[in-house]
Amino acid sequence: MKLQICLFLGVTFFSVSTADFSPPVVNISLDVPAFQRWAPLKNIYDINFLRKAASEVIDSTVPKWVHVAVKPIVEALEKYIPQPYAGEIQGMASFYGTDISDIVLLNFAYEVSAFCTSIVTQDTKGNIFHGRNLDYPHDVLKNLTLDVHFMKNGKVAYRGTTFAGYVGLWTGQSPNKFTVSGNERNKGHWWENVISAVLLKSSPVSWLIRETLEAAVDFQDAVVRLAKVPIITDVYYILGGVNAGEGVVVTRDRGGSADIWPLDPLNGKITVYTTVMSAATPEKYTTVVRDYSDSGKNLRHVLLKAMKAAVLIQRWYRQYAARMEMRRRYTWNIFQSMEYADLQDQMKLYNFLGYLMDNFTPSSSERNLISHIFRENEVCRDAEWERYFSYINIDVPDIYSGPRLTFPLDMDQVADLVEAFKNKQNGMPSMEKPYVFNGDFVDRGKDSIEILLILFAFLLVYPGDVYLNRGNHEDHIINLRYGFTKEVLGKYKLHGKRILKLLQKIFSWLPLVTVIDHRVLIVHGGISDTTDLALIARVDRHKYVSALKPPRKKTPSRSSLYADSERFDEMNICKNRRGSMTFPRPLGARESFQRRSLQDFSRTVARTAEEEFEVRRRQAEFSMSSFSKSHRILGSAPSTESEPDSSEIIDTGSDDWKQILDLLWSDPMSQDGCVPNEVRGGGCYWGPDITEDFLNRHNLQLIIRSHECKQDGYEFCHNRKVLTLFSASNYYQIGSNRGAFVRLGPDLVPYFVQYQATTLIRGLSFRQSLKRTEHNALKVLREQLFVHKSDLLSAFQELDKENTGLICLSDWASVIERVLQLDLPWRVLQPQLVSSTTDGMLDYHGWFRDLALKRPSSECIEQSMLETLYKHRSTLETIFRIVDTDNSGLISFEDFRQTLKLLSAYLKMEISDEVINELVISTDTNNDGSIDIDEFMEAFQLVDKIRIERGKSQLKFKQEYQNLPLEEKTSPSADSTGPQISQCSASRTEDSPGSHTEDCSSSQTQDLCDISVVVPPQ
Amino acid sequence: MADKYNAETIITETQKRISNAFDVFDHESNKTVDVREIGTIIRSLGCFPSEAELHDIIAELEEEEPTGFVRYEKFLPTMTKILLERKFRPIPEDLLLQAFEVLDQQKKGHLEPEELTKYLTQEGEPFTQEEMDEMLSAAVDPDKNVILYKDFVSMMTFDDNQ
Repeated sequence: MKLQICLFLGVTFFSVSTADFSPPVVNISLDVPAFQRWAPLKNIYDINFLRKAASEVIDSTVPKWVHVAVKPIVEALEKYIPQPYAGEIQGMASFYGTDISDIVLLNFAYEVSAFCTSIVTQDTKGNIFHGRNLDYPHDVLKNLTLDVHFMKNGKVAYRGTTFAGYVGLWTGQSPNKFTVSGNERNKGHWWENVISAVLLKSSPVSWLIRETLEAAVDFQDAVVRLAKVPIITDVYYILGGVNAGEGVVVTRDRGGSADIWPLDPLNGKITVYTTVMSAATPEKYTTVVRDYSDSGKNLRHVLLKAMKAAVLIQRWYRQYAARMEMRRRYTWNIFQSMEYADLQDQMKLYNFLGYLMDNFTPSSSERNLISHIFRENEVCRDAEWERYFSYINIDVPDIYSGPRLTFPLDMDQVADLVEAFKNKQNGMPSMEKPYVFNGDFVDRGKDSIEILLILFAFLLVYPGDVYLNRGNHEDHIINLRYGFTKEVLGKYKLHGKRILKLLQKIFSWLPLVTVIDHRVLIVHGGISDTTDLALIARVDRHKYVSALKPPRKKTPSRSSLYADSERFDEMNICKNRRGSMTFPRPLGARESFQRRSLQDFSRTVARTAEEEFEVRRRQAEFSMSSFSKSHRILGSAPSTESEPDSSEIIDTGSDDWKQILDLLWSDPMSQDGCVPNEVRGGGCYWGPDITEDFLNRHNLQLIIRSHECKQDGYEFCHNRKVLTLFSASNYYQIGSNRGAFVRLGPDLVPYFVQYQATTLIRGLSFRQSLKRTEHNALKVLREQLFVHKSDLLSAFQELDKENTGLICLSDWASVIERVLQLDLPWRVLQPQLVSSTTDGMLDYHGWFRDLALKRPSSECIEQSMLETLYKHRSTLETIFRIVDTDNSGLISFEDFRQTLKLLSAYLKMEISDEVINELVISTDTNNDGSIDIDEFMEAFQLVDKIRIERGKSQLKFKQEYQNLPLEEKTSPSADSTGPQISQCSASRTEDSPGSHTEDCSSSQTQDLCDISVVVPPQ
Repeated sequence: MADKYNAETIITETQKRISNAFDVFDHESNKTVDVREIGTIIRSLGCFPSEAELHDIIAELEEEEPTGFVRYEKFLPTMTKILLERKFRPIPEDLLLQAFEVLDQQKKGHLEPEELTKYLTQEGEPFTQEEMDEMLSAAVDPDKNVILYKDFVSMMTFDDNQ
């Protein structure tokens, strides 16, 4: 048998038949790297001609916008274009001496250059003829046509006819096996091919032909391959084999469905299969086909059936995956909106403390408690400092027998971090591999001190290769609220306070920014419109022990003077943060205290009433005079004639302070401009224009910052000029987000490494871990709903005019939207938050009952009271922690009572002794006269009703299915203790120990259910 | 209550649902979403389009000069129409089972992970490796290391009903 393939070059073939139309032949070796393969073209073509021809093709085929659209593809060529084509295209570009995007465009442009006609037929003797006509849409292509011999081990692996610059094949022969040509069906547009290639990762037809030529073992194999692999555009493949009857036309759609029309070998007739494009009506394609044999029918039938089944399953599963993705996203939204609420909790604490100082004079009966509260926060002066921290003074008790330099490092917890350095990930710090850590080393889980010690150890061991930037959490005031203080005091009972003081000092010396190669700025928060690196370089940063308050003035003076100037500093904070207060609060003298740091109160307590009055009077003036000014005005307002010098000192100090605050606390925004950061209450939001201006002013090209949790560990904004990088995975909850670090090569192009650092989650499927995270988010959300019960109830009742106790779900959603103001997709969340409805109506009383608190005795206390305590529970807990100076976890009944009294006075809310007694009784179960803080806070946990019910029903199904006793299956959750608990709570930022246990046990129940449920409910 | 659910209410509610779903993906809060996330939004609203159909919807939603983003104003009417006309209806469980049975050519009652991977990553509208891995993590029976597709389909449908 003989296989022939004929090529007809262009329509001019017949008129100038004497000319030699054989295209040049070039050998392309598949044994050399992709990048170098097409180099032999240099010997055939003039490079200027190739460039001109390429631009002619591109200009006539490719719309202008595609030039822009193709850029991202080119930037990440390997991601979108598979090898060896990516490499060959890159090689081609370097050989053309042109932009890679031009070669990419050229390759996609050719892809749609419709080649018109192919014919496959056989003569009466069974010889197969396969013909292909090359009538090009671009004249210039004629001169670019070449025959390529793809060589492997010195032999021709396959041959093809193509154009210079194009790496694919539309026409080819695999010697002694088969021939193939492709004809476009011209359904769809240019850009659809690009989308199809890039988004769906489908293969361009011409690449698939090449792969088939290279890999298919025979004609039949080639047919199957071409019929199955998804491609970017609709096409006809025409194949010829070496045996009689081996001729076929395969009709392909982009998605997959293939129709196969083989030659009819039984009748021995000459049957012609062609795909034709008429020159007169180029839009119209017709395929001339006849009957097909039984064998072909079967092949076609099986392929079609499997393909349809696959499409159905794919369609179904993709829908499921999309809903899971939606759940993952809104879970994220919940965590984010809750974090903002959390930031406001911090303000509540400051407000409350300010109120205490304002309203309770030294003579009042709560005096002891108050001094108790603030006693712990006396300042440590530089002079005393060295003596205080001399390690010789730290006694190590005799009972201690372990090695001296061992910290309580929990290997399990630190393993991930160390692992990341040690193994493949990135390696230990070195000259070649210096590290920058961008702040917030603490307040990030239970092992902050260990992480901090590792980083400090690195700093000592690799002084030139490790750099630490300060973050907003390297600040003792923030640590008080976010758990680091608690962690240190808990771990180091004897020396905890001293360690904290030392850390306070170290934190204040941490660098604020790092600049790499004069190009990349690394800073924890960000910048503002006034950020000036030259100014920052001159700042005495160690004076800013807490970025939340300006430094103390060093002027030695009378005590009252000292107090005064200090108060002005505080006013700056106060004024600065005014824009940040998002909840209504009373005006008046109390106002002046609200932004106070804890540290200052010890001094204030000692002040006489007259001094107090005088100071407050001036503050009132101060705050009025500068109220309307922007947050940037600092310290210039006070015109207190008595202390002109001191106000000037504050002035410069405040500028410095503002610079630091912006660096540590700011967030980028998408709009232009620079406005106060209302949510965080410190720093600003800055826009793309500020970034642009800042980078130009300092001749930099990129800002890398942290400060905000990102779901994938990193995110670009401001036209890729600002990169947010967040390394703590599982920040909100296990599974909530990935962490990432970035590697900058010599060219400073960022390369990202993402990870998830929890051992627990690795054993879970995506579905299970998502459910766990989602559940935690919904729990937090139900707490919010509970806190707003009174408001929600009255809003529901307003709509429920006939007092039926029912509202429709759309009303439910809009009421919640209005009352909670959380900007969450309530209609998407509704199926998760509303468990049962009747005819689309919700029984809202029943729904509220599901949001009940755990402790039944709390029912004695009225709802509004509970809501209030609930809203302020983090303030309460912090105060309890402060009052509990020996960290015993217990406070006296009297301290408890007074704290609650203070809170009630502050909130202008009556809490009777009766109610307090009620609370004590419900908490103090062993009646020993002291209150267990954890236990008390535990009372503020919502009953996890939905989960319990769901868990039960799932277990029931399991029981029925496997016919096993229920008890046996529930036991793991009942006595869940030990290592799982510590793992589970490992990455929690903060919470009471009680709730950890709670979470763990219930999530284990959940796991059990997830894995075991296989029977649907009836 | 029937009068409350007149056509107008249904349209308003449908559009609120669309708006909620859209907002989840509108990261910049500027009423646009990445075109690559449109599929997720449409599907999460209860539609089961094929990739090809999705492709057509996206073509309709995109600007004349595609920016890579889809605007809410364009999305809302198209999506409202899709939801009200109940296009892209859910796939009935029995049909889904039949599809798995077609792939189970030897009628074993289960599929090997390799077998399913081969079909779903090479046929039809193929899965990416990521999609495949994710599906397998839920589908493979950990003890027998095969896909008991009947159980799998029931479990996933059970999931849906929660």
